[in-house]
Amino acid sequence: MTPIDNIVEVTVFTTEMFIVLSPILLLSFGIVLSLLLIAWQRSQKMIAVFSQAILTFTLLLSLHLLSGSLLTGDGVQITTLLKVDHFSYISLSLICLSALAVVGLSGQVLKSEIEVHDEYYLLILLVTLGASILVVSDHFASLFLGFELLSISLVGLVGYFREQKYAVETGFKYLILSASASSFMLLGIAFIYSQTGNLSFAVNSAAVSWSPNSLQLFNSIGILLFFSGIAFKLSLAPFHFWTPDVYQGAPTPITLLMATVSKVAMFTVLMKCCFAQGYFNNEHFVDVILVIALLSMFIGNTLALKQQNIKRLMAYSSIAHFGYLLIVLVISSEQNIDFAWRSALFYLSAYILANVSIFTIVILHENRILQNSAEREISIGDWQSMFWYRRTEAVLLMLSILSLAGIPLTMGFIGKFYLLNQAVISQSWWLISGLVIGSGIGLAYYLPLIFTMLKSSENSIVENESPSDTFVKSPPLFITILIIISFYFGIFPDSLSQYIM
Amino acid sequence: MMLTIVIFGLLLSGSVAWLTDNKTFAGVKFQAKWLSLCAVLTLGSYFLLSIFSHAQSSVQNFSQLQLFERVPWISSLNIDYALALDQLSITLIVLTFFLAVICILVSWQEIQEKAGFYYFNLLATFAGIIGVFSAVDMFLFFFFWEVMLIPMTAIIAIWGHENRYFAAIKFFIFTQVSSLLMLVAIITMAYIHQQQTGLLSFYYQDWLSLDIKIGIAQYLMLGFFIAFAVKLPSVPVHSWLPDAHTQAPTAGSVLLAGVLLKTGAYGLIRFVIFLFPQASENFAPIAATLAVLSILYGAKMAFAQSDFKRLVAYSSISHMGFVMLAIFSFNEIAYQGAIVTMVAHGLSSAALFSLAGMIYHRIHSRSLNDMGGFWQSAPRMGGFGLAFAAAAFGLPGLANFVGEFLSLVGAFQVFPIMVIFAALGLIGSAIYGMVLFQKTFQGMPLKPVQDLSIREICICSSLLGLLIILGLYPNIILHHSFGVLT
Amino acid sequence: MSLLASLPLYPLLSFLILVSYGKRLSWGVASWISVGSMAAAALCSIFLVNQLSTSDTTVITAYMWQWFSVGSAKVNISFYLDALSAVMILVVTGVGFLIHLFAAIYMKSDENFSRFMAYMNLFIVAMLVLVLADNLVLLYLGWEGVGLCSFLLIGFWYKEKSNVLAARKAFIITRIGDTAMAIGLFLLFKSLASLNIADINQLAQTTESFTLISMNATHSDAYWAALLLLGGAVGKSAQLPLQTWLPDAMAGPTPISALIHAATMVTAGVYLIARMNGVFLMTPEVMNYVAWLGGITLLLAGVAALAQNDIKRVLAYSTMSQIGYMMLALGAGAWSAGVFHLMTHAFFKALLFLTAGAVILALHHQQDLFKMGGLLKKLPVEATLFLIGLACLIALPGTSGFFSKEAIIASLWSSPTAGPSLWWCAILGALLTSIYSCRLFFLAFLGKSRFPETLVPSDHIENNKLLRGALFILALLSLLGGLVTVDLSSLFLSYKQSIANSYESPSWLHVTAIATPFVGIIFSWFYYKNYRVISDESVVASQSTFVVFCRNGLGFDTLYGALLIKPYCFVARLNRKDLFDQTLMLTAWYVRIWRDVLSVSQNGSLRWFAAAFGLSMVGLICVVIL
Repeated sequence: MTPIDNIVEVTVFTTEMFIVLSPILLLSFGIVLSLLLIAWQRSQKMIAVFSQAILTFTLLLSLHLLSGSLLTGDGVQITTLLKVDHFSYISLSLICLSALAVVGLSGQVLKSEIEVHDEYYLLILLVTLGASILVVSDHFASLFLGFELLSISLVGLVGYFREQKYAVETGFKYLILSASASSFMLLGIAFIYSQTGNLSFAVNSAAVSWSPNSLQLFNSIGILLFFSGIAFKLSLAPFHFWTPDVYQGAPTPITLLMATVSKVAMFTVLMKCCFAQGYFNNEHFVDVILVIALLSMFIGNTLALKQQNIKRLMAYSSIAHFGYLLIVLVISSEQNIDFAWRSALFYLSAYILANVSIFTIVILHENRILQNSAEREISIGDWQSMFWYRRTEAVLLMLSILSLAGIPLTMGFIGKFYLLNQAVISQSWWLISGLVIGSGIGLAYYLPLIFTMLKSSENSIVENESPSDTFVKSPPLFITILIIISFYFGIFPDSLSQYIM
Repeated sequence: MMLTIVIFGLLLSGSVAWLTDNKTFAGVKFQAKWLSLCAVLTLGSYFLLSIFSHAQSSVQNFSQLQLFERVPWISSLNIDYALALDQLSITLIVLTFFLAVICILVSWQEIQEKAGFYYFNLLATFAGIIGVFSAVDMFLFFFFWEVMLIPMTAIIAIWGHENRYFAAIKFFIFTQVSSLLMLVAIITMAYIHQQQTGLLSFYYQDWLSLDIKIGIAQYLMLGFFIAFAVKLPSVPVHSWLPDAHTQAPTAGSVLLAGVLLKTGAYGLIRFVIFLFPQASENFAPIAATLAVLSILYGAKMAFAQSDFKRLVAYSSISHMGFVMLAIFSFNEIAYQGAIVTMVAHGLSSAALFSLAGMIYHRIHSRSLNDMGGFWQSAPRMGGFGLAFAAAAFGLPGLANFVGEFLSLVGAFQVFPIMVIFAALGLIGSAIYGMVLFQKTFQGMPLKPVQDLSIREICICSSLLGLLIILGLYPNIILHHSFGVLT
Repeated sequence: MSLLASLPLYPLLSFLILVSYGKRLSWGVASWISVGSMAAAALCSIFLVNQLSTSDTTVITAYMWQWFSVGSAKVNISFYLDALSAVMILVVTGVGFLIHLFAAIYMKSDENFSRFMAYMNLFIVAMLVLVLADNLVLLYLGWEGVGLCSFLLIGFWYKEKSNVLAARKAFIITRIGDTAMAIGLFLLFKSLASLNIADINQLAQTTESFTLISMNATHSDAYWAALLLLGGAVGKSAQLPLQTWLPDAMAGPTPISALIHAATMVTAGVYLIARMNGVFLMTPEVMNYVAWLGGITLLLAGVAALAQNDIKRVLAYSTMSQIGYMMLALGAGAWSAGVFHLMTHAFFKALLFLTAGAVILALHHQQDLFKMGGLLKKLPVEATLFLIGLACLIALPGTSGFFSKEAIIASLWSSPTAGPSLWWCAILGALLTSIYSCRLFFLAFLGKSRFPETLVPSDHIENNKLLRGALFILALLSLLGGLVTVDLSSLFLSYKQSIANSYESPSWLHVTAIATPFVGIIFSWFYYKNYRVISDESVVASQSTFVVFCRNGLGFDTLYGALLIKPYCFVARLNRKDLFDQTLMLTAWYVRIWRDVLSVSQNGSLRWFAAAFGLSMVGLICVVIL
């Protein structure tokens, strides 16, 4: 079909589409409103509350639509650009949840500054919008749109606290690298277009097997370039170099934002694209995935050993985790797609929960330290013997670390179980052995974390035990909720996974 | 319902003990040790009573697996919460309860700081172990298998000796990696079941009816075998054990040697042998070789040690070698031997480790070079030490002898040559037993130690009493645990 | 509860009482309990034997409970009394009682007296179980039990390192034999599907497959089974090649040497072989080995005994050689002669040891022969008793030793499994025996006194009467013990018809046999002249290398040390840090290496990151294209 027919065909914009798309519309509308709000009056509290409200509404709306019977099995096509289905709602709600957490936690950080930070919240909202566009996009163009929106606003956020130590450096690193990544990606998209003459995911561009000597070579390279762009965002080896530095340099809530929102969005769109285009029945691509996955598992886990700085540690562990997650891209046949989605989404939610919890504790700690000493970063040593004087926080931390390590009683274990199921179905023994070895190495840095918290208290705790810190009031509720959630979903995973199906 | 009550009762009372430790309510000062002791005793007696009543009522009194619970748990994967018991698991659970009491008693004085959390971990471990012995849904089994690991690691890591973190991490990684292999095997089995019958199932009884092509079955069997061999432990994957045993607090060592190792043997019998009879029969020669290797190597290493607990730890490797040899010789007599050895070793190693704890409590050292001539000042301790050492080197009249004798007699029908080598282990055990006893209690008295207290005498004499009873009348076990294997 | 079943209970009860009350008991009470229990046991056993001889039944059995069941075969805790075990229980309880009596006085001053008596009682229990067991597993129980007790009693004075080591040596060496025996049990069960002694002896005769040599094997099951049992016997009875522990075992208190290492435990091996005669008769070659083992042992032990300085060590070696005689007898198929000698030897060797103990006590624990001398005048009673003992040992006509030893020697020549060469062995052994006995007597009791201090006057040892009493009874037994003729021939099976009697014995045999001791005495009367006459030149032990070599047990200890102990310790020390552990830890090290390598890549410089990005891009493209 020629592009002309396309346009004719899709000009009709039914109410159904409108309803289906409403969360994203709401979000963007909210952004406009907040702009107006800022113009009217600059108040940080107000904008914070407002953006929280928007996110909450978006979340509720998407959850409502998820439970509603609007979605037929294959989802709703809105023009060639967007396609909303079941899974995109779930990832959308995940994104909103983590964005909410980020906004909430940012309050803790910004408190210590003087000036008013309303653009900060705006940027966060923009990131969320970009992410939500990504998860519903069904077309390389819309994908690129969301991608750029997300990364540019992230760049703004990464370097936000200009006067801090690494801010500018980190910002530049991230800017340049992500720019190059997106340019690679654009190039890749161009190549693909040169082969298929169409940018919609639906058109299966990998149907014809890659033969190096034919012109299809362009197509393969195109797909690779495109994939590398996304791999950069997902910080998969060997595109992971930026991760630790940026994680470390960025303000902690933004690190959380990168760790959760952007990654969820990226992975969702990657899955959509791969499954729609049926890359999985093309062995070269599967080989690439295999190589990248194994590399990420090994490199991520290995580098995290002996890592003292918590944020860097999380960066490395995220590399490893997305290495594991790549397993779902290697599926044997069409009918496993649903199960792959389920595994991926469950794993992602477990991952998000763990990250949110850990970063919450990190932020609380940073504040404590910032209060009574000069500016510095959280290292493992700061958590020593935490278990004995700050019980709830320590318990939450342990739970999340165990969940990252994939030990039972936590969501992480169920997630890993899903992945193993996936791998067994698709009989990719290489990935399984990688997963086993990787988690073996992983324990070697997760357990010491826990042990440091369990260390019996010697000195230097007493001054940490300052009643002055004002955060101990509000967070405990939040923390206990997190604990309960992670336990509950760890023991009754069905209550979550039934949503996903 | 009964099993659920026992398992969760243990967990619950553990957390209660944790929260209420050293707090006074209505003028009563709560102490975790008392609370947990009561909990274990009541739940244990409850378990025994309900088993007896059940045995009266039911026809085939546990010679086959008797299902207690089966409720859907993760219905999307068709995973159930299913618990069942048979004679084998009942025997081991009773052993667990007995050793639980011993564990609490030995940590009575030893654990002073963070007692509440300690007893929580202890009880959680018991709960996990009982779960392992009674779960018949493989996912649930794996779940418990891991759950019993976490508090155990915590016990080692928090209350252990100088080098505890390393030991704990080593212990955890060994078990975790091996059990992940088992998990893969479990999932594969589930999908094979799906291929053959159309629906996914993790239920043990369903799997028994599968027929798996020997080619695949061998790999699956290996997956299970490795996990259990690490737990057993068998050479060459034993090396987590000496560190863990040495570094753990006394109760930890008692628990590890007494019960946790038995979960490995239990797994071998219940899953490896029963699910993959053909594959494991083909594998038997290799397994038997490993077993003999463990027997001899363990004995030799034990002789080389100068650390009391480390010596006992290596001796455990040697003893569990007998169990593995017996299990893989596919012979009724040998199975009887395996079971008796499991129980007997549970008791004797527990006894030796408690003794080590008592000595450590007195001289604050585990090194045999700091010991000697204790008989002079502590004849009672000496007497018990002698008896326990004798049990370790298989003196007839004590339980271990019956186990080892039956195992070897049974295995001799199948692997005569290997048994001859295994029998050399008897000499090795005599050597390290002598070294252990004489270096500790004989020779020139170094420093006087005070003799056993009443509590310690209770611990030792109860263990010794059981060892003698089982040594002279092993039918107590044989009649009530053998039905499974016929 | 039948009388038989109750037999081991008396010492057991006294053991329990003594152990549980320990030091709180006074000497009087403790000794009364232990010796009294032994007296009860002795009476009980006499009564039992009487019952056995009078009643027409040849066996009395007592079934207590089923221990466990090996497949179809039941292993019971049940006792079995026939003529053989009757002899044994008489020896064990009778001699045991006397030795207890002696020990109660001998050990009076020791602080751990009650513990000592407790061990003695426990030993008696184990020994009774051993001789009364009706199946091999129960026998093994007793077997190990006596081993443990001997370990405890050798190391009774545990503060000296040497005693501790001697105890360890004794236990481990016997344990080697025991392991062989255990394997023998496995084999017997595999081939005969039973562990009951009587059944095995029966089945061994009837079962074809047992004696038949299967196609791929060089020997029959019977051969191996008998050989393995022999291994057990050799370990317990201190025969070649496992004899080295016995001399060191003399580190224990003298009553122990008398009870365990002369009278009862060391003869358990003989008892075992006699018990299992059914199996041994199936394999003449093994019986031949037994005979040769006995012969060689008795010669070597005799030679070694010639070179000893320690009075107890001389006796130890003589024990070894006497047991050699018994083995020789068994090997020759003269079962009852062997058992007879076992009995008489128990009497006179106990007498010798106890008297030696009394002498040692009088000499302030001086055991070196070359520090004694001229004691005949100072300790006339002991001297005479000792002389009686020696007379029996040399087998002078009329003494009990004479009858038993003659019976053995007489049976050798014509035996199909022994033959003339072994007869000559026995004769030579008798010669040696008389020589070292004379040397011992001369050194200790004749010649000029080389003992500096004044003796402990014997009547200063309290309850001297009792002490002497025990010795007198033993002396009486060893003199007259020969008159009770033990005829057990009905008990034992005979050779298969296949083996015919090979030699007919010539007439001069008996004369030679009887004459030999006198030859030895006459020889030593002149050869050891300077030992007996009171002269001025000082008597010293010769230090020539050969004598020293013999004195150290013919170098067996050094040999084993070099061959077994050193390598084992070496390997153990070499691999103290567990090879497997290190190899597994290598992986951790390897990962750490990788970590260091990779962390170099995280150098934080932007241009490097960009370059890496591009490079990995290219790399991936290569992966796809190639």
